[in-house]
Amino acid sequence: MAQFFTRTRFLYRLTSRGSLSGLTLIAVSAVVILEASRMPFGSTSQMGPGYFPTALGVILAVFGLVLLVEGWRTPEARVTPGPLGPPALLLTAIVAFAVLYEIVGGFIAIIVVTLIAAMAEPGRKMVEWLLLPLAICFGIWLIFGLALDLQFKFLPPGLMR
Amino acid sequence: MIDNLILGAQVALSTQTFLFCLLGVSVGMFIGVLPGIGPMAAISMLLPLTYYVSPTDAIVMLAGIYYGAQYGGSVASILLRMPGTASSAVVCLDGYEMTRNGRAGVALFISAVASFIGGSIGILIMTGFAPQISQIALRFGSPEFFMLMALGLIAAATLSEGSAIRSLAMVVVGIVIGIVGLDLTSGTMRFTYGQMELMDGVSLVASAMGLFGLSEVLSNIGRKENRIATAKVSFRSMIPTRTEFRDAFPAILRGSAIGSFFGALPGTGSTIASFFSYAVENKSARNRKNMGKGAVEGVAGPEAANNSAAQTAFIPTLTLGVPGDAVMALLLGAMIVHGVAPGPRMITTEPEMFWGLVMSFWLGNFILLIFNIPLIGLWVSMLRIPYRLLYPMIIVLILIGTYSIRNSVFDVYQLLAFGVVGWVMRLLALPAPPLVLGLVLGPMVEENFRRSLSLSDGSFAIFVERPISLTLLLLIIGVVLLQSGMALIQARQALKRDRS
Repeated sequence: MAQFFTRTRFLYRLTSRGSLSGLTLIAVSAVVILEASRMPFGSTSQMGPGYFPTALGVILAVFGLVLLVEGWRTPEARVTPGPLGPPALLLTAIVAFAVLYEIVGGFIAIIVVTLIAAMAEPGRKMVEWLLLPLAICFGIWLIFGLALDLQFKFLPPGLMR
Repeated sequence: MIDNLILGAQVALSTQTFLFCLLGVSVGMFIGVLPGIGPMAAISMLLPLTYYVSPTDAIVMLAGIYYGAQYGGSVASILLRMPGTASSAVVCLDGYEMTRNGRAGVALFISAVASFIGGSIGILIMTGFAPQISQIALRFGSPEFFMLMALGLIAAATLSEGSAIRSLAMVVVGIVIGIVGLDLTSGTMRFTYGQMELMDGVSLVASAMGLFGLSEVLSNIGRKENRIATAKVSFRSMIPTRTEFRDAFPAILRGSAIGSFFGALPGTGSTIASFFSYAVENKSARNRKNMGKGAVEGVAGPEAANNSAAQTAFIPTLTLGVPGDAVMALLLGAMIVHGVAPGPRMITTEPEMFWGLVMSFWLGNFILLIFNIPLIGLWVSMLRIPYRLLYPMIIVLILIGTYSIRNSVFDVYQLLAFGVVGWVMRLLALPAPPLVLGLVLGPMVEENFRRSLSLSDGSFAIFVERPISLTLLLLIIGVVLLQSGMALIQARQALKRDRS
């Protein structure tokens, strides 16, 4: 994969950090301008909802072009993402919370989140796997349940009256 | 004035406010000490808690995190050469050298004393000048406020480290995200894509936690080198020699002056102040030949500067409603959420809050001095917590915090989205703080821009016809020219180095 991007000079320049930043900004500006064009533009003295976003979109496109040129000229600066597995696990943990919380309540959701998140950094002892989720549950209950008395459901909905 | 200070002291010393001040500075100190979690992440993590307390207590606590982190940030800089906060990065240079020379205790002591003196001078300046500035600002109209915000945003973006274009682009992206939701003038929904939850705009807490808390963990995980403090710091090892004290004292005063000035400007914060102070010490300290090799001035000056800047940064935020950096922007956002509108009228309409906050700064700085000298060993031991235990806790705190503001799963997905955006931005070296600055100020920038031009019937001349607005415009041009000039000089020097 990495070799593919460095095979030709064109691709090498196009995938430098600056070029990718520029392209990202240009894409964002395109979305902004497109969406703003669906709203009334108005005039300078009586601005409609589309006026300001359109102006911002144009400015953003200019910045994007500048970065693209910069990245084209100095392609040595690369993007170095590192291993993708650990961040993906953390994102999974968050989705798991969003899905599980309303079904099984806070405690179980927190335990699942902690276990998935803990997998992102391997080499743990058994004690840690057991104690970390429990310690975190206890801490969260202490802060959010006992001290702040929030409307946070810790137990599964079926168990509550 | 005396009446106001007494009023403030009554507020700050009430049991509840005192406890929130204590909580704020403790959390600030804690996250300041730990490298990898900045004050931004901590303030956004604690924002949800403030929804349940009075606005004054909330702001006292959040402010405490901010200046508490300035104190704590230097601990990891000195002991591990890993800055706990951006504004203490420069302290690594001489602070860590002092640790290697066996003077870690002295470095920590000097840094605590410098922080306290710098902070105190900053508070004095704030007490004296904030009311005057708000008097002047009462005469500001929409064009002046628009120019002031433009100055703040442009100065913050161009004067910070890194590429000015990247920061400016992120300010613009921030403004776009800031105007998501219902446009009050026309009643149109903008950029909501049919999501009713976005009517009030993007959640400030979810975006700040995603961009600073979550993305931080996402980029650190799997490639974090675990460095652990080994230096032992006893109380006795902290006492500086008479020469060290004599060398440090003038540096503290110079640093405080520099910090107070940069903090009070809209758009410049404590990071710029500490770097500038280091540059000045490099030229004027008695031990300048020793700079970078463990000179006490290299710790004393920048530490005084970043703490005085952390206090005077409240001047533009509270009196003008224009924050100097992203942390201030977040505080501003928190005040707006609590129904307090910072601006020229705040000192007269909310005297309890304003003067209570000022007096809580004294209290907080005093507590921090105690934390940093007799209790320093406690904080040093925090540096022994391994990251693999820390990050699951951070993730869960972020999740529960975001969810519990509105009991909304939608906000958890917003958090997720901003976490991914922040992670990609880090990969592309696009800075996140300017984005938050733009996000908070966005709606106000648009409102003042619209109002100015409808006042002038569409003529842009309104921005140059009014004297204050014209002055601000000239300042903006000055900042841009200064920045391009400095970039040019740097480019030439780099060219020279390449040739030789």
